[in-house]
Amino acid sequence: MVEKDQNVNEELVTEKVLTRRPFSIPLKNYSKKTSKRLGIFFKHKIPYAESELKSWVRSFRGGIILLCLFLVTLIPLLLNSIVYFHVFIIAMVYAIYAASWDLLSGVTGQVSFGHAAFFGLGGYMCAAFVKFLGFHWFPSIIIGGALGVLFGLIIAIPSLRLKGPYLALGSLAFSLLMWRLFSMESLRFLFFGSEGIRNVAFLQSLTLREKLITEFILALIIMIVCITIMLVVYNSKLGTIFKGIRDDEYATEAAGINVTRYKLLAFCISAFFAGIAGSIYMLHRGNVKPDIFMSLYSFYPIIMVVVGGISTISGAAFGAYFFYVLNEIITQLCSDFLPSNLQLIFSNIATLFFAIILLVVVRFTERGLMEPAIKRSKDLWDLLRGK
Amino acid sequence: MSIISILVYGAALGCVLAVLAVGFSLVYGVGGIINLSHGAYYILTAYIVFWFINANIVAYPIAIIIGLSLIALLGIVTYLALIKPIQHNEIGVMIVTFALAFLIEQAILVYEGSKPEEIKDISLIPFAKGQINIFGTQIDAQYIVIMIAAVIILSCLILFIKKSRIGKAIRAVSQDKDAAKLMGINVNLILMFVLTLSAVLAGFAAILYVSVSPIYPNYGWEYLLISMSVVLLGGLGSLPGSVIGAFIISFSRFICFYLVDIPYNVAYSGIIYLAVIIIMLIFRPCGILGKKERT
Repeated sequence: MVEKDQNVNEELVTEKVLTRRPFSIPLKNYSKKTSKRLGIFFKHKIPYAESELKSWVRSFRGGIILLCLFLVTLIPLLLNSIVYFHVFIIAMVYAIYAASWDLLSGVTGQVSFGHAAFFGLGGYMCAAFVKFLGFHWFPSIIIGGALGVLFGLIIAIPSLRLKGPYLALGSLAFSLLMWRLFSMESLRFLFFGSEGIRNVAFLQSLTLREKLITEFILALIIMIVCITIMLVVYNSKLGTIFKGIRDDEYATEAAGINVTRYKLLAFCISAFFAGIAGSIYMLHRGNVKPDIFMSLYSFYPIIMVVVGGISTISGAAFGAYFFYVLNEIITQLCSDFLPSNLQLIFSNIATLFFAIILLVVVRFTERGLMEPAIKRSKDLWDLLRGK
Repeated sequence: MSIISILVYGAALGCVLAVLAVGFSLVYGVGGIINLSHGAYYILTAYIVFWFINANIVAYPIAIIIGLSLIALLGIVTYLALIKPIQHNEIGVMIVTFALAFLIEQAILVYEGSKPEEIKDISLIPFAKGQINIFGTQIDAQYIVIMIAAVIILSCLILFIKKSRIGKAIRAVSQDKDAAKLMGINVNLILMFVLTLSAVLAGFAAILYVSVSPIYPNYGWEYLLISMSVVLLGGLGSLPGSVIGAFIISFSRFICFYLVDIPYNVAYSGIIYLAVIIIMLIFRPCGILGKKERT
C-alpha cells in the first residue's frame, strides 16, 4: 500500500514537471530494473526506451525500416563498385535534408521553399572552417550545423509574423538572395565568388575506394543518428506541440503554449540538420559552389517528402532514396542507350520526370506514395502469415 | 549612362513589370491563389517567340499570336487540372504551381540542351529599328514602342475590368466569392478566366521586353520574384499599387546601376528586388496601397 501511494505522488510531481519540460513523456509504470539497465541519463528523459524500441522493431513499420536500412548498408558493400557508393552517400545526405524540411514544413506547418539556404550555408561554413581555419572535419560538420542554426534564427525571427504564403515567398526570396550574394564576383572577399570554395581537403591520405567506404559509413552513422533524433522529437511532447502549431495555431496558443518559442525551435532544429546535410555533401564533393542555393535544391526536399509521405520523418528518407536512386538510374539509362548527340538534351530529363511525378502526387494523393504502399504491403504480409 | 537613358530604360522596364505584376496581383486578389509559375509563363512565351523567330518560320506577329494562345491554353489547363481540385489547400496550390514552374524550366532546358544565353537577332523584328534622339541621347526606338504598347495593354485591361460584364463579375468574385455564387456568377469560370488573363499578361510582358534583353532559362525565378516584389510593394490585390511598385522597382534598379561604381553596380542592382521583398515582408506585408489584414 505504501508503494502504491508513492507511485501516486510520483505521478502528481511529474504532472507538474511536464508543463515545464517539453521533452518528458508521461511516467507511468516506471520500473526500477529498466532504469538500472539504461543508466541515469535515460531515466528522466525516456524511461522505457528499451521496451519502446523492442515493440517498434517488432511492428511492421519498424521491420520495414530496419530491412531497408540493412539493404542500404549491404548493397554498396557487396556490390563493391564506386558508383554505388557515390549514389548512396548522396542519397543519405538528401535523406537528412528532406527529413529536416519535413520537420519544419510537414510537422510544424511552416512551409519553406528556400531550405536550400540552410543546406548551402552549412556547406559553405564547413568548407570555410576546414579550408581556411584548418579545423578537423568532424567538428566542422557540427559547426556547419550550428551556423545553420544561426541562420535559421535569422530567417525565423522575421518569419514569425508571416502566415503560409508569405512565409514560403520570404524563404524563396532569401535563398535566391543567398544565391545572388554568393555568386557576386565583386564581393569576393566576403562571399567567395562564383566558383565557391574548391579543393577542400577531406581524408586525402586514403585511396579513393577507402575514402568512399569511410564516407559511406560516416554518412550512414550520421544519417541514423539524425533521423533517430528527429523521430524521437516527432514522437515526444515537443512533436505534439509542433503538430499542434500546424493544425491550429490559435488553439495551441490558447492552451498556454508559447507558439513563438516553439516555432523558433522548429526552425533551429530543422536548420541544424539541413546544415549537417550540407556539410557532408560538401565534404563528399570536395567543393561548394553558389549553385547550391538555387531553387533546384529547394525543390528536392519538397518532392522527396511529398512522394514519401508528408509529416512522417521516415517517409522523407524513403522518398530521398527513391527519388535519388531513380534519378541516377534514369541518367545512366539515358547515357547508355541514347546516341551522344541526344545525351546532352536528355540529361535534365530526370528532373522533368520528377516534376511531373510531383504534380501528379500532389494532385491525386493526400499522404504521399509510401503510406499506401506500406499499408498494402502490410496487408500482404498479414495475408502471407495467415491472419 | 545619362539621366535621360535612366528615365527611358526605367520607364520601359517599369511598364513591362507593371504588365507582369498586374497579372500576378489579379490572380491573388480575385482568387486567393499565389501562382508561383508566373515567371515560368514569362520565360515560356519568350522562348516560344524566340524559337519561332530564330527558325524563321513565321513572321513576328504570327509568332506573337501563337505564343499568346499557347500560354492562354496553358493557363486554362493549369487551372482546370491543377488548381481547382486543390483549391482549399493554399500550400498545396503553391507546391503544385512551384512544380509546374520547375516542369516548364526543365522542359526548356531539355529542349535547349544546356543553359545558353539567347541573344536575339534584332533585325527579324519588323518594328522600330534604329535609334532616335531624345535630348541628345541615342535611345533605341524599341523602348518607346514598349512603353506605348504597355500603356495600351494596361488601359485596355482597366477598361475591360471597369466596363464590361465579365469585369464586373471579376470584381464581384474578388470581393466575396460566396455572394458572387449566390448572384449566379460561375465562380470557377471567372477564376479560370482570370488565370488565363494573367498568363496572357505575362506573355505580353515577355514579348515586349524580349526585344531588348536576352533571356536565360533560369530567369523564370527571377521574374517571379520581381513580380512578387512589385506586388508586395504595391499591395497584394491592388492593381494601381502594382503599377506604382513596378515603376519604383525599375527606377531604383537603374538609379542604383548608375550611382554605384563599375564592378559592383550590376550585382547590387540585381538584388534590390530581393531586399525589397524581405523588407516589405518584415515591416509591411500588406504593401503601400494594400489593406491591412487582421488575421
